[in-house]
Amino acid sequence: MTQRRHPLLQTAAATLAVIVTIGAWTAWGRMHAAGLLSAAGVGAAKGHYVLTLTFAPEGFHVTRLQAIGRLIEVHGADVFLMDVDPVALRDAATAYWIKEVRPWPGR
Amino acid sequence: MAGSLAAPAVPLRRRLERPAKGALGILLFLLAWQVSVPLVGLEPYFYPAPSDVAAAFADLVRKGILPVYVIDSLERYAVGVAIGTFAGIVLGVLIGLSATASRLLSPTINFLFAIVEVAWIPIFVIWWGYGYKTILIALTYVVFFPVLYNTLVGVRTVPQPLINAVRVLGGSRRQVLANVVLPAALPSIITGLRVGAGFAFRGLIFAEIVAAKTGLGYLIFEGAQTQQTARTIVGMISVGLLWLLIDRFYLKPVERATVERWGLVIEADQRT
Amino acid sequence: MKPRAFIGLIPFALALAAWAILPLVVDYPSYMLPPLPEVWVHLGEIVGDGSLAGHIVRSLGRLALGFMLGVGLAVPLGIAIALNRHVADTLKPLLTFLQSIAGIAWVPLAIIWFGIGIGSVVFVIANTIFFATLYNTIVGVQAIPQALHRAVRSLGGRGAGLATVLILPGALVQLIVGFRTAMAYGWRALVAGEMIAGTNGLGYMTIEAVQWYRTETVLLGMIAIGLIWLAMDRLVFVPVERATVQRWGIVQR
Repeated sequence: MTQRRHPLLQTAAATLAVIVTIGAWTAWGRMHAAGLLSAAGVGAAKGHYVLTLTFAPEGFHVTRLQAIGRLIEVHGADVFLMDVDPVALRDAATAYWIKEVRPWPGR
Repeated sequence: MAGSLAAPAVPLRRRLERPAKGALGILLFLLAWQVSVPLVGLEPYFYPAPSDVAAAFADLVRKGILPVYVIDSLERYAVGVAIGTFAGIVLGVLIGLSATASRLLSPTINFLFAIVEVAWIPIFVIWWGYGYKTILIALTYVVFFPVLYNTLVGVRTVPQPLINAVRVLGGSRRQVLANVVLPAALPSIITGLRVGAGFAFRGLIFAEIVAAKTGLGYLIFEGAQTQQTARTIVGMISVGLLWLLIDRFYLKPVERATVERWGLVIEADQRT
Repeated sequence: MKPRAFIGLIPFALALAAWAILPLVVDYPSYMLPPLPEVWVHLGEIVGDGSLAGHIVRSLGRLALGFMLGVGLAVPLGIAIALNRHVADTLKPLLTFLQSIAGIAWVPLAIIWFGIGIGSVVFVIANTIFFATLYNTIVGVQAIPQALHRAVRSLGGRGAGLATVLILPGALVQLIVGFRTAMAYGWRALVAGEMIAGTNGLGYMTIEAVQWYRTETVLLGMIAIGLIWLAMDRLVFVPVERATVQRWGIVQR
């Protein structure tokens, strides 16, 4: 308390903390997605996949996954998708609630 | 405040006393709430316990819903406030520099400011539908007018002799603007920003209730719609905490910096 | 009025003129912005059948009820809390937090508790005003210098006497200045509450019209909301605030 600091230092520190947190989270998400996609052998072409979540999906998750391909079925924690764009899949798989991505012959 | 004697050398114990008491108050409140639930005996969707709320919080984090909603809300808020503030300051200075323009436009600005942003949302929905655009425009609107108004007031109160003096001493128009007008108007601008930021935060929550499919306002609304009241309360608590953090780390420091550098900031409550 | 004041009306006139001319120049669906005569005719209708007045009266009644409930509960409680340093220190962070939960965020919960209708709307207004007033009361009472406390006590002031002589007047400036902000938030809470949880009132009238694309009603509702707030602010809150500040001294925090 003896030394007076400029008030805006707090603002800068808070902003920095937010940026670092979001950066770290994004970086973690990318790594997570890369791991899931390489395990599933996702190539450059569109494909069919089963995504296993860490829980049964709610509307929130279904809406998000519908955006990356044709959602065929939700079975327990498994979401069955056809014609999934690999780039969109990479984005979606950054979410920590996706446990596994597997190729699927489709229906 | 009573403890204003607090000089640098306050013992640690004394300094910790207040936060400790505050924490005690919050703990007592939570305890009373938790204990009251079995006594009242109402359905959990009607009167959830703090433990239900904590469970809902953990669930929302585990499922990745809360982080996404917080980021969505914050992003909308930051973008809206930034655009509104910038436009408000620029236009306020431009209008304020001309006495005729100020007289011409002040009543219009007052009138538009009085139509609260909440009332604009229906027509925005008609024009732009439900979604991001409507929310962003509503937020920009609600920040824009207080900033514009207060910038205008700030610029208009710069004494003309001061401007003349700088001009006589060879200052260019740009120098007058940068060294006289803006510094003099800054406290007033900051007042406008504080007012606008407060209204905008409420506006954001309302806009998300009415016109969004993500965000904290939507979480509050959807939780209630689906009788997951504990989720609604998680949303409300998040909203409160977020506002406290914005106030503590952004609005208050900016205000304090302005006061230290340029003098008095008018109490934020006194818009007009 | 001096001619100077009139120039402020020019933008309004221009806006009305643009509104009248626009449909002739640009082609757009009329629900986006109904032609001026249509809105005028509609205004005649809702004024004529008294429905506009009905909505306004109900909205204002709710605001008044919410205000009285909020202030009536908050002022005594605030004084009681503020008189004891320990109680005040214990409750202040909690109250700061509760105040920072925007009133609008309470609307969905209010619907669960009170159902759609007047109960929810009044609850949200009262809630908004209660927390704002409570906080202001505590700050106001604590801002009274200790020396004054001792002076009144040494002259024999106790209990009710202390409250009427010192505490109420001492906290009044902070309170009344706070009212204006509280009402600004309360007004927003009213409009928002009526939009989400209302069955009538100005907010309901405005949002209900969106479903039927009755844009003329939406526009009239907005203008009414703006005009009524301007009237309340300029005719009631600003004069009261000015009178109080002049009578009781400089506002400081």
